[in-house]
Amino acid sequence: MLDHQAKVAAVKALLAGKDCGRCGHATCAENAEAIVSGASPYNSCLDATPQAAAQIRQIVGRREPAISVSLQTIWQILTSVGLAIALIIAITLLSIVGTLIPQEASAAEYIQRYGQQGYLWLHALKLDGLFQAWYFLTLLLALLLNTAACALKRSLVSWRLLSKPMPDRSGDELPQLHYHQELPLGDQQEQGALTRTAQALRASHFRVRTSEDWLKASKNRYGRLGVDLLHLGLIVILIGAIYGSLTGFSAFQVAHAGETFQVPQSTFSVRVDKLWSENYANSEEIKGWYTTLTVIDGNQEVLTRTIEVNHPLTYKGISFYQASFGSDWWDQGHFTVQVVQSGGKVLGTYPVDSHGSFSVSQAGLTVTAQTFFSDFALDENFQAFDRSQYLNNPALLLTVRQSDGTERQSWSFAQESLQQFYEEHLSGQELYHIRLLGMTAPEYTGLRIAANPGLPVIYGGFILMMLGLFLNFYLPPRWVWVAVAKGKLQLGALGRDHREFEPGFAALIQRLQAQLQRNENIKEEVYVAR
Amino acid sequence: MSLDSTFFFYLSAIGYFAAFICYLMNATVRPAENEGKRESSDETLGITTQPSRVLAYGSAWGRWATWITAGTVAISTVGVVLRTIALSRSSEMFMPLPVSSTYETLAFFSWAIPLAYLFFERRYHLKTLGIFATGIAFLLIALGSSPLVPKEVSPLVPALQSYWLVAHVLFTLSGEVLFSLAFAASLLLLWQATRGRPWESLKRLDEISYRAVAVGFPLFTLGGLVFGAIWAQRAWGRYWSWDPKEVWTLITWLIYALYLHGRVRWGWQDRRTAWLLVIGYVASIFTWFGVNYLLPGLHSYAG
Repeated sequence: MLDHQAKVAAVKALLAGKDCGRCGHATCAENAEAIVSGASPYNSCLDATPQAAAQIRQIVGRREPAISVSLQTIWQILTSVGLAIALIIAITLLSIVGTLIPQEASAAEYIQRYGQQGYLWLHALKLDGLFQAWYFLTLLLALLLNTAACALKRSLVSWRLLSKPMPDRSGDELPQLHYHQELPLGDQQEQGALTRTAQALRASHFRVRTSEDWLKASKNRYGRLGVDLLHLGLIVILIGAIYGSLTGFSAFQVAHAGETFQVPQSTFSVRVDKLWSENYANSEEIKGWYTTLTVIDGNQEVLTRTIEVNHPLTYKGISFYQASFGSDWWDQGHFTVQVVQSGGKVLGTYPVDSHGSFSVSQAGLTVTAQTFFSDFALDENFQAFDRSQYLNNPALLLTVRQSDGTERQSWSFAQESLQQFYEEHLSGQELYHIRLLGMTAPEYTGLRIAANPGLPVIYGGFILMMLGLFLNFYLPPRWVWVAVAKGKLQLGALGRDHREFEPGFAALIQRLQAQLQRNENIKEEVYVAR
Repeated sequence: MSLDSTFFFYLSAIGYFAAFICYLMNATVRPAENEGKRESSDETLGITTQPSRVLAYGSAWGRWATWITAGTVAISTVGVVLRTIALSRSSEMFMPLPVSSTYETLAFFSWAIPLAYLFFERRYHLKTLGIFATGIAFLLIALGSSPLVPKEVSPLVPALQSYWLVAHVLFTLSGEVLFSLAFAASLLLLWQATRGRPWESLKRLDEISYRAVAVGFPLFTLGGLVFGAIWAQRAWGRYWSWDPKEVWTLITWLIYALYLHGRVRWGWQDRRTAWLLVIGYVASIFTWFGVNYLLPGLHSYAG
């Protein structure tokens, strides 16, 4: 027993004595006790010199720790600084790779960029779906555990610190603290020094408790919880994210006006009453896409709302988002074309549907509408492709079969200049030209349907995180002890950490000096820069 | 030339350049200080030392620099206000504040960085950073004046018509403005450290960097991550899609988190933290520009 106490005392003497809490214990005395009993590692004091740490190690010696080795080691690793740094760096590097290599793209795209072999490697290493890969998710989970362990450790210390009243410290203990200052007092000053100090502290919103020759003051005590709240918030966000990904769903629904569709994972359906797209005045630019939806639950029309991008509809936890918009050019286009003889004589104007055909009897032609491009363009190999779903450059590819059986492909462009160019230079020996006069197709609305039960948890986590950040940076805790003895005013302080209070403490000292000097020399004005 | 917002921004470029010259002169035209002499300092632990001569405050060049900068910020403010009015006049367009195009974000930075800097200058009595603040503001306006950057109020695609966008961009950029100051202070610190200056005299720069991040990090977190996620959920039904912009915002955030842990929790008190601020800032610039122009995806709002 004596042996144990002596060891604790010896270890305590070797620790830095600042009661800063960074070792995970509220006071150095506690840490010393923990080191000797094996719960705390010999090098847990971040401010102890290496020599002191080595000496502590010698005192403690090789002995069985109080908790089993494996649990102890796991806990130490989980709460270690090194793990946090390693995880953050690993996640960062992998994430960078995930932004440089396109994610979730088609095999063809990868092969085009990286070659066949390259694609096989990428796919095997899951670099094409990195953010869902098991190794990435494992790293995230590890970071979650690391954060949770550190947060728990710190929260316990916070609890111990804040549930006790501010400890008293004698004048001898003050020089040990992070922030310390000694102010000499003149004879006349010593009497009122403590009162003036209390005044100055109260003016800075400290809560002050005075006694005969000492005082203790604190401010923003609960500011210490900022870090705990912040990390709790992060943990809540991640838990919400995991919960949401396990219980939520996402689907895409294409619908035309008048259609009703059953909503996945629910008992109600939705009818699309109306859908339309608006451009900006005198412009091709899209201003908005709108869809009027009616929710039908149990054969009753429960709700009718018009949605647009950024303004979804939510019913029973399922949300409907205006995601995209388009026209059924591929299958349901209706075109109006004009057949013209190469001399210029118009043979007639004919309606034709996608993949439909018509005949021009007087010329013995059968014309079939093959493919429609709403935004025709040529790639580097001069192959035609559709650049977008917008009607920017309409072009219709038709097959013309003549009475003698010969078949030819013919292009038809809505844009006159393009049609002219085609007729003059590219149509070869065509006897007949086809001109595209008009096109319509039924429009469809693209809706994203999604539910995420984890959202409230995630948003709650956001609030906790932001509260924690605010508390931490704007309301940092301060603890100040003052003792008057032998013609000196001793101040010792602890801040949020051992650097953050530096300028604040210096400012406090200056204000105190001003206060004290005012007493000494009433006539002289002492200006001290802030 | 009409007196529109662009006019005032170009005018502010002149002002920033003039201020830049004054700050430069303030830093160089001075009695050289003795390298070998140790700065006087309180021996007691934790008290900051007296500011060193190079970082001093008060010469005529310095006073001119500050006044010109303040005046230029006022001119730039007029530009911002005019742009806001122009946006509200564009009747069909939804965008209450000028934060949606590259030109507008460049203009925002050129207004906000010197403004934030002036607060720091007043608090820390340090004018050397003014060289950076005014210099970068001038450069950004020069960039914005390039014909490759469209300046017209152009209509927004449906996805961008949202108050959440305004909140998201405003807070994120504000955070990045402060990261810019921390970046400048860190560069200065690293440069001075390489020239053999003792750490004690550079503490003020470290302090400035920290304060800038202390204000900027919560702003960046709120704007970039929180508002960004909320907006994504409203617009696309998915608060996080691992797309390049989101991932790089996360990377930037993690680097600054690493910095805060290093300085606050693990007692790093050397060049490591300064380097982290430099790297973090490069990441934030890449998040802002690099992703738009170099990487494809949902977030490529180039122009």
